[in-house]
Amino acid sequence: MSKIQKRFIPIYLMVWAIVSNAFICHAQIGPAMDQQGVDFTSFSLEELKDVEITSASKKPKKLSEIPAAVYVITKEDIRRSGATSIPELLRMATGVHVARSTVAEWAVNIRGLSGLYAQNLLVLIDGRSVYTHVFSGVFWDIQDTILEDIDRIEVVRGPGATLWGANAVNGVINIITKKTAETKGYQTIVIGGSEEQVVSLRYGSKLENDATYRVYGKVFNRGNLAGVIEDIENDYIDFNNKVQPKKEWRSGRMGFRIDSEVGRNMMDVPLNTFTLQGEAYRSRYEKDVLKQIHAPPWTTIESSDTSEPTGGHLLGRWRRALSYDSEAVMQVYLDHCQREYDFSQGKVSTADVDFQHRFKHQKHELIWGVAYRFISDEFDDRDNARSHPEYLNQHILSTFIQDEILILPDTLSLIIGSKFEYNAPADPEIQPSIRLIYLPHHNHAFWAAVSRAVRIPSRLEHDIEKVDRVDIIPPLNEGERSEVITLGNDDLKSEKLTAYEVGYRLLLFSQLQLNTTAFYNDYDELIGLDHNNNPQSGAEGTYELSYENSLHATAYGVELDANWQATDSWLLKATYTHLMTDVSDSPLRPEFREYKPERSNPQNLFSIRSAWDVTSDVDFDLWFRFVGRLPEKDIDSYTTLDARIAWRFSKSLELSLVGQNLFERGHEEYSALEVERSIYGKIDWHF
Amino acid sequence: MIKKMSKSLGVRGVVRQMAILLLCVLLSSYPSIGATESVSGSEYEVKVGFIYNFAKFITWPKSVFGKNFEAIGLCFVSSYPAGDVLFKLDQKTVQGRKIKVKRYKTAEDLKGCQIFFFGTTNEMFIRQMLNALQGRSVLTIGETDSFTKLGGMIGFFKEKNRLRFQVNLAATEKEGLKLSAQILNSAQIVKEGNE
Repeated sequence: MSKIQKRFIPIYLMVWAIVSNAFICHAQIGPAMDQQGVDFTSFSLEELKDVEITSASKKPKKLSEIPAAVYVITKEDIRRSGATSIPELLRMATGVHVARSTVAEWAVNIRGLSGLYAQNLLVLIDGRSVYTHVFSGVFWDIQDTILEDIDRIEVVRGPGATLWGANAVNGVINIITKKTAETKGYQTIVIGGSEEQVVSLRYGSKLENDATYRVYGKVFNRGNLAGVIEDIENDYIDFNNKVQPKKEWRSGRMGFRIDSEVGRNMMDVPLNTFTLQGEAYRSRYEKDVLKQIHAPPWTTIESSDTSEPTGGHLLGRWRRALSYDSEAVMQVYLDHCQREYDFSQGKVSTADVDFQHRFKHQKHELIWGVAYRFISDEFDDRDNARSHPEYLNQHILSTFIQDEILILPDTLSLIIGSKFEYNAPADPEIQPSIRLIYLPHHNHAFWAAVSRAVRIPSRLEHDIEKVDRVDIIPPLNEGERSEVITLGNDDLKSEKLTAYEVGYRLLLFSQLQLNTTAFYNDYDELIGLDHNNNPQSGAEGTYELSYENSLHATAYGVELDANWQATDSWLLKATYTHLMTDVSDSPLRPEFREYKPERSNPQNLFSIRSAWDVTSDVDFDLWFRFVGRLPEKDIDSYTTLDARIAWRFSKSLELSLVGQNLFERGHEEYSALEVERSIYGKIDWHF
Repeated sequence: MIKKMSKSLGVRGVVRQMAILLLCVLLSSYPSIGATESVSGSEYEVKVGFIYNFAKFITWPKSVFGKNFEAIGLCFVSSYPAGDVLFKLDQKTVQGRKIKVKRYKTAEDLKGCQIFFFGTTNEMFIRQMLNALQGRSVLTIGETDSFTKLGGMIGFFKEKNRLRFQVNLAATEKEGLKLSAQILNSAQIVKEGNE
């Protein structure tokens, strides 16, 4: 910096000081509220009678006031999408990459850097976490319910760790089902089509003491994806490719929910709200897997494995209004799941207790909570893989606090908070975030956030012991195979993310809403396989690999969505996502490529939906999507078109016809298996 | 001179000022959309206008106010945060008195209420509250279709997306409240139990 410039700095500072003081004074003098709307107290009664009422004043918290990248899939979106499973519904949300890998497996990613099991996403269904600690991911095949009973799906992109805790690194998906007061009566839904058959039944009614309930059941049968992966001739195991199941995927589930509101306080807020819900499911599909004989001649054989996930859960929640602006929530749930993991058969039981308290104090809105989770698991020993230890009980204790500070009423708010999580014997994890939202005008909102989140190493990364016999590495002796041992690592640290986000929202004449976000994610200590230091490694044709915090990465991108109510009967919703990722090279030698993390994300995602009410009884909907190519997996980009026509013959009967993937016979999304063009008819009969 | 001033601000002060200024400059450069829609408004904002006019054109019995300049208490319950816009009326002056807006929390709060606004559809609560308010000469305003039938005095309703109001004259007379012609001319008059 030159001398002259230096001399000028004080002048700049002085000007800044004066101008900024003027700003502050201005802000204090003119309350922002009066500048925005019309002051109706200056109107006469007759004039007031002429004022047209605009809606949307009764929403508890407007979406535009949340300082985070949020997309809400509404029940109307769900009804008009034609999608028949939860992962397929998620394709509607901005920034979510959904790719179907086999009939029962989906990769669901937000903001990149994740594989088939979406390692960085936290998914909650009615407040219950369905994230599995075994793989650090979500098994989408067992996450289901009657889709018509879903009230909304909130998709939060970016770290949600402060409120939701560890593993909410790249995003949080919050699936919320309807209250039972909204699902009274009978509903029968039958779907029949080229790829799937679904039947669901639900009955809801009132109990004596004003409580309402519903009971439901759902069964489905889903056809296979097209094609067979021909890797039987390959001598090594290809982890990326799933083999075509022989039989179709069948699943059944039953559940109930009871809601009860007891008492109302003087402010007309229900004093106590109780919810009790439970579900049990069973699912079955067969997949052919490659198995190795662990003795000469080291052959790989094809055998059939039945995957039969079975499980259930029970959840109770008590919400109590303490005053007009204070409430406490207590939630307890139990969850059990038994299923085939890639390496072994396992059972996982979870018990979770959560307490949250929200209250206002002058300019502060505080939320704090404590939670305790107990996870108990057990895995079978296999010839070539086991977890060590086979049984494990984990106790996870966490607490969080968040303060929303109203700096300028209705205009500027600051949210600071942190979560503290303790999972012995690991060190406590601290996950803070700071968010700022500025609403200069009720049609504009700007927000910015910096947050830190962690992903706790999965049970596998910690404890697996696995042996593969491969011929990727030249064997020591002719006719033998090399042995690769994969080992978990007890000393792993959590993966860390620091995320920077900014967003802008615009509401134009209540017909057009625009939402943009830009983000930059800085990941450190990512977990991947590395060559073990063991001097024996490599000797006698045996190689040892272990999980290490050896990788780092960055990801950045922009996300855009727009809703346009073009006419009273025509609504358009579009989303666009651009994502760039840069992961450091795996330290593994090239011949170990199958052991490198499989991470692949499209750079561009685009979707546009059109919902047209042809008449009040006829809907016509179109949904166009473009998904960019996955270079690491060599999957081409694809475009799809879905169409839906629905007729409501009476108040209680709706018939619809849906065509999916109409552009082409089939396309690959995540594996060599193809998602095919399909068509189905649906009857929705409720009374 | 310049040196002195920058010193007196102190480094911390300067940093703070800079931060605030930066924020102001950054955030004030957006294009703002003028409020051209002069004849539309959110429901509760418009209701605030109505309630202000009611307060202007109503006469309470003299016994209601202890001293001459005691404030007019506007109490309300609301199931929705949007009800908070009523606070806009706080400290405004009508009939030589200041309006004091209060969110009703306990029965204690009833003492200083001259106007009570029911921003709720909970009929049981409305019944109980109307009962409790009897004999206190409180102007009751509600927004459910049945409000005046239940004994409430002024009930909002919507017609072609515009606000209208009913007045239950039997109820106002019983409590000794006098409504001026301005109110009566704009109102739809109902008689208790009739409809």
